Amino acid sequence: MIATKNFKYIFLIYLFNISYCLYEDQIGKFDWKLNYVGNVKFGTIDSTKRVIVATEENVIASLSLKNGQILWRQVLENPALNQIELLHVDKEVITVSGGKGTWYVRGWDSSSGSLLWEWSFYMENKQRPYWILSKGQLVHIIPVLGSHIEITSYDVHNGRNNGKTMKISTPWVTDLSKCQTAGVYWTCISTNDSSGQLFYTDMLSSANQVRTFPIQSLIGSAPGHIEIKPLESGDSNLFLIRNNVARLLKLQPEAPHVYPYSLSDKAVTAFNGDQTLLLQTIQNSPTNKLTIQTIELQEGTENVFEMDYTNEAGVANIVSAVCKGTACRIFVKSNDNSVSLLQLPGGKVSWTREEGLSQVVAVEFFELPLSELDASIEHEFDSISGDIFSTFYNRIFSQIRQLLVVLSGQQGDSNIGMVRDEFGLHKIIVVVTASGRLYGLDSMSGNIVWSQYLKGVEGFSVLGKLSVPLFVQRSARYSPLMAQCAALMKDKITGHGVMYTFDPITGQSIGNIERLPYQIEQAMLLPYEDDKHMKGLLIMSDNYEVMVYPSSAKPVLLKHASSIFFYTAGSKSKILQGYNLVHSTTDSLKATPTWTLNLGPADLIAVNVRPSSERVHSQGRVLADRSVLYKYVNPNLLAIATLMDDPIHKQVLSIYLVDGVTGLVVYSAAHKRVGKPVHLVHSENWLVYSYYNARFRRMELATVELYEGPTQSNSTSFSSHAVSQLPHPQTQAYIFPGTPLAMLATLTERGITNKHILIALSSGAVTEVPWAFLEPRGPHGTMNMEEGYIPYIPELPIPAEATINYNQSIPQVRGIQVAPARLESTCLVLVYGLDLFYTRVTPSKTFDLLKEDFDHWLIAIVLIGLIVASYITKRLASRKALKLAWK
Amino acid sequence: MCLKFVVIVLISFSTTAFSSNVEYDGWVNINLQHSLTFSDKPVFTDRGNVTIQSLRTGTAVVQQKPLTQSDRVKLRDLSATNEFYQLKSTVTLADGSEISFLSTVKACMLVESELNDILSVSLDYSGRVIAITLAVASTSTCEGAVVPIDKLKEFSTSVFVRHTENGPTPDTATYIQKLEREREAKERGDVKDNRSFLAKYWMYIIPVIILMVITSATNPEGAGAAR
Amino acid sequence: MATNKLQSKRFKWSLDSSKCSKLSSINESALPAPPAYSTSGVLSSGEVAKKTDASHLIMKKSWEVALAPIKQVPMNLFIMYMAGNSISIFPIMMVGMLFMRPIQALFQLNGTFKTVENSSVIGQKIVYIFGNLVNIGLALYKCQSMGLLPTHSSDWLAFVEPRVRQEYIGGGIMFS
Repeated sequence: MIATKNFKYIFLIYLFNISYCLYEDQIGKFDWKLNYVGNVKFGTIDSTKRVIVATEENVIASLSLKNGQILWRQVLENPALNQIELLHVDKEVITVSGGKGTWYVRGWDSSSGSLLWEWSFYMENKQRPYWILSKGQLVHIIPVLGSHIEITSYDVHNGRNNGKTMKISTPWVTDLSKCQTAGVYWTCISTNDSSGQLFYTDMLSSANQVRTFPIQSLIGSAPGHIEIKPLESGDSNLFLIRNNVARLLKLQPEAPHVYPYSLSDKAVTAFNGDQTLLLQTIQNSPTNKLTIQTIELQEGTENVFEMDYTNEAGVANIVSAVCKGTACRIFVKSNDNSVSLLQLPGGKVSWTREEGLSQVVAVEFFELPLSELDASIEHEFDSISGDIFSTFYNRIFSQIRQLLVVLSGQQGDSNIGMVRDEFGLHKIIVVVTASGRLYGLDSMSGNIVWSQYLKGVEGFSVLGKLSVPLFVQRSARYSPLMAQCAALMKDKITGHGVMYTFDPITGQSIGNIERLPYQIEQAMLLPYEDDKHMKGLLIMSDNYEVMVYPSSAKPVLLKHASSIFFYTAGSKSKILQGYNLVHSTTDSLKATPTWTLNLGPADLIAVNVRPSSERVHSQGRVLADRSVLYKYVNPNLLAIATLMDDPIHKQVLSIYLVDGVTGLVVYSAAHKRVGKPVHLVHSENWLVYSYYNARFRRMELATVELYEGPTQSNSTSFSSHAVSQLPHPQTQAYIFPGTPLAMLATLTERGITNKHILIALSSGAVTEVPWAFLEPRGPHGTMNMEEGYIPYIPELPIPAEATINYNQSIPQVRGIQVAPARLESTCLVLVYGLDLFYTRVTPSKTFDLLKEDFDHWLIAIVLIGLIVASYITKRLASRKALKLAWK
Repeated sequence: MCLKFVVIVLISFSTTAFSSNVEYDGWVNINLQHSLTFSDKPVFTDRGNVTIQSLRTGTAVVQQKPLTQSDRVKLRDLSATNEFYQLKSTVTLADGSEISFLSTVKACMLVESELNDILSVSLDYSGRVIAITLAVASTSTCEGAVVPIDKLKEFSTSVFVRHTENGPTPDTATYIQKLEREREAKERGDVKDNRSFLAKYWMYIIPVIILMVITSATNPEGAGAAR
Repeated sequence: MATNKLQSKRFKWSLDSSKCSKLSSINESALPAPPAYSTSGVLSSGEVAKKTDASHLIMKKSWEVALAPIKQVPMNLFIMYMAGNSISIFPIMMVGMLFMRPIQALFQLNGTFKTVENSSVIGQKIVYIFGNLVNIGLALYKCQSMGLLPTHSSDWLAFVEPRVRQEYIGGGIMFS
């Protein structure tokens, strides 16, 4: 008996799991993936075929020179702790990466990207070292200010330490910003003006001779701040920069050679046979186009080329260049982190990669507008006053138009392009990158529909993460009126707020970029629309003044002031504060504090609210005795996670559920000896959170579900003020055999479909965990099959079939965004990290959709056949009856 | 009506109140001040004192003076105009430091409950006060209410100390026990099917009976003739 | 039982032939009566017996019809017990039958009692209706025990509307 029951459970789990795997021919049908390499840090064109890049995302990759496609890509350790410090491209690609004392030296095959060799070492000294790689020797330099530098050299291929650590007495090393490595030399300037000295010493020679030259004698004396900077991709070359004019020095054992050109400090060298070419961009070009200057180092011939490259993000840096005769290939990086390959002398752009999309900070899905035809049908019902004849005429007219469109094979639609489809699966995804560029992506293909660069702005830093809040002020539903979205950012220099409003469908900005004269503390989208279906944006400034944009929303706000509440959570002050707006007048809006919650010494690590568009279909859960346990669905509930250092328990994670209107703590729980990473998912009447259990060294998931009880205190309306009884929490915890990087619950139009939790794992998989697996079983139904509870298993399985990105790993996931389709069963998902991955998930399978392989023809033929057969038999039967009657 | 809800709240609050896991017991003194004129710059006047003698058990002593006539009028007006009643609670900890908390309720709800209110004192895991919230037990809100002034005599406040409970942990022990039990059951061999004969074979008996019933129903004559 | 049957048979026959009395009178005139046979006595007593017998039989028959549903109750109970409480095709069919028969019977109430046309069948009708109601009640009880009746609050859960929120909240972690 028990065995069969057990078998039933397994079968049940199997049933749950089987619902979301993919057939092989469905690959790429509902999903797309865009691969990126990240923000390029180092780049070298190694031959005429490829560019080797190392990026801030701790990625090393090779791009095709022909089309910019990724030939190979290797994602290394977590970029927050490890960075590539050195990229050397020779016969093989050598990288030095790491951080915090642990360093990995790796050799890669430049054509396939496979790892040839690897060795690592650990340094007690956590200081960031300097590296020199020359003639198969890797030199590791740690300067000690005012005293000496420690030099350790290794054989780069096997890590054999060649001799002991050398110490060279360098009392002139006083400030690391004045020191650099240039080729094999360690070099410093003593002061930041012309009176200083230039010191350099060869790191590879055993003599350790230090050369000293007065800067004056090298570049003459003139007032101005002097800096030194090594020349990228140049050996033993150094820039001495004074007032943004750089002079190139070639360091030699005897005395440095100074070239007589005024350069920009972003110049690079390119080898052209035995010639060396200097390339630099010219800042002030008269046209908007990029201009590149080339200088032959020995002869001094200068050429200026105007490139066919425009990018409003600003002047591009040259990362690397290679020349063959007169033809040059130049690899450039723009301020929006996009990289391009330019060709000289033609000035053409071979390709551009939007690497900014590897650093997405905000995502929002937008519904597309109706096609013209559908809109005309909608408009039929707009005029209520119309008499019978005009409505009849309208109807006939639109029908004829519809017919014409059908007859013309839907050409009209494809011309318009971005229109809403029947099931609302086609959307536009607005994406904001860390570099300040906004992109509109087509959800069907991942193509960039529009992009817009915002100069001099950056996202807010919230809990150590960049964040750009996006607010949907008006959706595309109100046809002649444009959809509107607002993005809030801050000025890079002043820190003042910047509001950018735009049409998410076309990317056109609505009005100018609004530079607000204050810093933004928090913002909120008003729940009420004005007469033009526009939702106002409420912004609280740093001195707690409240503004609303556009001003037309002000009367709406004043009308509903008593029902709008606001809260701020200070990550530094550790105080949560609630506000109401009832004291607002037409002249000034006022936020009055209503409640406070003092976290004390605990660190705020996450605040989460339910998605505002979420609908809860079922108001309760049915118990085994067929009574109902009503859910406590509080739309104003905030989930707060704090972490506090504790002398006994090391770190304590506290989870609070707080009513945002009254400040009442509805539920609180503490987990001892646990730590980051903590992720919260708050949906319906439940909360799921993940944390690292330091005691058992494992990740755990915990769930809390709130129930009102067997009766609903008020069945019509919910008010946070009316506290008739506190909800009953049910909790449960699970061992999670993976490391979550991001978590989110699926969202569907009406909330009828089951909920799944999407969890992005550090392994690159994004897995779906059904809520039914996580649901707290509670005291009401332990081990009761009739209730539909799955029996509790402490360790959650992560079946391979539950991976929504099948075999396409998504490294370094930063977040997940979901949006409901108009089809109840379907939820659209965008996972963003280094790559972008879009797919659809159907937590309850596609119950509202016919199967793809549904045989329409067969069923039609069968039906027609049956009808025909019934008529024939009817006839035959009547004839037979007639014959019988004559007998 | 209201009393009933108070009872409900009492029960639900108190169930959480005694699941204490505070490691160190202590006392807390809360000074209550309220603002009877709702403005954006509230003026707080003294309302009373609450002393929680033991955080662990949550026993509290409430000292509140009856409202003066002018305060009653103010409160009634506040309720009639559907304004908010604000409470500022200043906590004096055992070490003498002070933290103040703000809380707001609808004045009409407070008045309708005849000044029966609930003071929820939330503690974090170490027993530090993180929030003090005033609440009124009710199932619905109100939009202004006029209550005779003689009903607003004195606050009767119930204080609930609400501890942070220990979060759930994966329940491996019972699961292993369950597996163990199942294994044992398996070893003992399959359990005999001890259901009754009818319960086991009803699906075969019923068609036969139906058949009999139908045949007897269709030809009663035949049945009669047979007899 | 057997005598009953016979009686009813005779009754039927005498009802069918309307001219039976005439026929008997003809026979009577053709043949002389045997000695010690009183025609009038037999006739009159026969008439009386026939009359009382007919009405008695009608009553009896109508009561029989009226009581039939109640007599079915034990049988139904037995069927119900046998059907079990699981929801599958046979039990559902049985429950359907349990419902259909009494409801049909109630609709054909007048038709049923037409055959026993008489003035005073109201009592029988009431009993008949009562019996059928008992059967319907049994069927309902069966539905209840099978869990087919929407008597629990959970059966109406799908119709519970989400509550209208009275307050809106916005905000988040401070940006600066």
